[in-house]
Amino acid sequence: MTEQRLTEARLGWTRVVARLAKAPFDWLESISNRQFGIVLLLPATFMVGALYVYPLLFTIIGSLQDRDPFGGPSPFVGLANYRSIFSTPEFWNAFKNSLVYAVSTVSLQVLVGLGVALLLHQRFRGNLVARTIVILPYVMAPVGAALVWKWLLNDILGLVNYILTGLGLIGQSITFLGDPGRAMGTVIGISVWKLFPFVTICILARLETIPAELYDAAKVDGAGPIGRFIYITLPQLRGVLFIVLLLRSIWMFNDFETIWLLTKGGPINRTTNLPIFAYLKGFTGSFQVSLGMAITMVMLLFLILVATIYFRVYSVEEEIA
Amino acid sequence: MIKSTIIRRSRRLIRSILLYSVVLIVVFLVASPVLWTLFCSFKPRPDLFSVPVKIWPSGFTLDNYIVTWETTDVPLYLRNSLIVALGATTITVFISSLASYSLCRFPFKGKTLIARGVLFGYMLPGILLSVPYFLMFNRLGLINTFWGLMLAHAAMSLPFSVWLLWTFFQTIPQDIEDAGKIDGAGRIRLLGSIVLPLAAPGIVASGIITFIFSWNDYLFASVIASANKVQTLSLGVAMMASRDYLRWEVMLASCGLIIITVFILLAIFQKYLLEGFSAAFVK
Repeated sequence: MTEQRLTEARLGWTRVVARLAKAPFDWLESISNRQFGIVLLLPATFMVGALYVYPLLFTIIGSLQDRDPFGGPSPFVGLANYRSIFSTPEFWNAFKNSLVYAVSTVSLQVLVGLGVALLLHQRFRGNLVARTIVILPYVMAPVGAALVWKWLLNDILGLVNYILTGLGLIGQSITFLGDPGRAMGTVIGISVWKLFPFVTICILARLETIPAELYDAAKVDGAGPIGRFIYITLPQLRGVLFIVLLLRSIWMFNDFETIWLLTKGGPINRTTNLPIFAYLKGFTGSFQVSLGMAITMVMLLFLILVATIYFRVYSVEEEIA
Repeated sequence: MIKSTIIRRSRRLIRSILLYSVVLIVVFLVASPVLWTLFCSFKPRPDLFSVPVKIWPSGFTLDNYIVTWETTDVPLYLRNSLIVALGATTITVFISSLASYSLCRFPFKGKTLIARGVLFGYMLPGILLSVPYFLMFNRLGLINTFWGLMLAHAAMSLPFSVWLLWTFFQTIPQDIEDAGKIDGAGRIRLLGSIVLPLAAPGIVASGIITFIFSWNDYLFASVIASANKVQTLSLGVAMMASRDYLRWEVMLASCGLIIITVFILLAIFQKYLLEGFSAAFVK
């Protein structure tokens, strides 16, 4: 009896499977437009739910607990983690470093990026090759970029020290990344080299959409190259400059890899910013993941602040309409 | 008359000489660190360690690459990186093209909110998600597996990919789809043989950007897949660099491999990459 029922059930399943195998998407043709739209969104919704919404809630709750990363009991401790972070000078040091690093890299990236974009916007032979070479640092793995600079800046074998001593600018070899006074400046310089092409790419794309008639009209009105730049190019670039500025501010405030791979936050925490501080707390030493989560929550608050400004200015509705 | 043409011509000549020299200087400044490293990776080992720096080597050799290939795990790392990057790219491209198409074509409430959510997701720093991923994946047994890392990379690239394709699908006129419908093509055929092929440049762009993200990532690899057998190139090379930091011949050859892969990717996909960025940020 049960045997027979089981066989029947199996047969039923094989029939369904057989039909699905023959025409696996037939059922999609018979549902309504709206339902079809929802079906297409399902995988993305699932991924966002599992890998964005859940982890964010997890972080909020985890930052209020004393979590054992290896599955032990995790008692609720209220705001103790936040209190403990805010009372350590290391946190404020990391916060300050995040700010210093973000402000200086963003302003330099935008300046250099804008300059290079204006240059590459000119017509000349080999323009495409020049563009490809310029975006090279941006596309390159941070690990590769870090090795490149560690090799160049090596105090004994590096080319930079060789050139500087050869020119008589320094008496003897100096260390860059290992020196507490120079590490931050060096990291900022490397970060500008690595990431300014993002700004260049965005601005170049925008420059190409400025109608030539505007420039012709200005020429007729007697505007020189500088006048044309101030009265036409800059106003046209305002939107993209703003977006780039905000995005880069967020990313530079929260940048981990560029710095970590060069200095690991050293020497003596001189280049430890908030993400590195969170990483050090959460993934090294005694794995205080809850402290790590509390630190990233502070970063999230900063992000929400900037994102609010972003959405005030940047009209999403227009983009998707 | 002739005089003024001469003046104009010489002015143009001066201008183009100036332009070319500035371009050359800029390109040289940007590229020289990378080129110097690549150049050094072909020097014989003793030349790398000579003090003072020996700019022009006694000869060129592939020895550093051969030593790296034979005595380190770099071949394994390369294979792992390829598996993870291809897997993550497949997942992201599949999920995001369906989602973007749906968001672009079908009626929904709250699209503005979804769009803001997508952009917000794009801004989220990796470190914020890496901590909960570590704890979640630990419980699910996804630590030190390719699947875990692929999922993390796919998730991190999803927002940008959706945004890019969303703006991209808008450039495909509805009329073409309507024509297909009149010809009796079902939804799936429409999607598979008309819409997706038309969106191919956007899909390639989002794929290549995801691939590069996954290929370059260090943070998630170090948190989720740090066991040697699943290490990707980025993580493996970084760990080698902090373990035996004096083996510059190996470091330079590994770095050379990273540089060469970037060159290849850029040479093939540069156009899609630039188009992708401009579609996403500039309308």
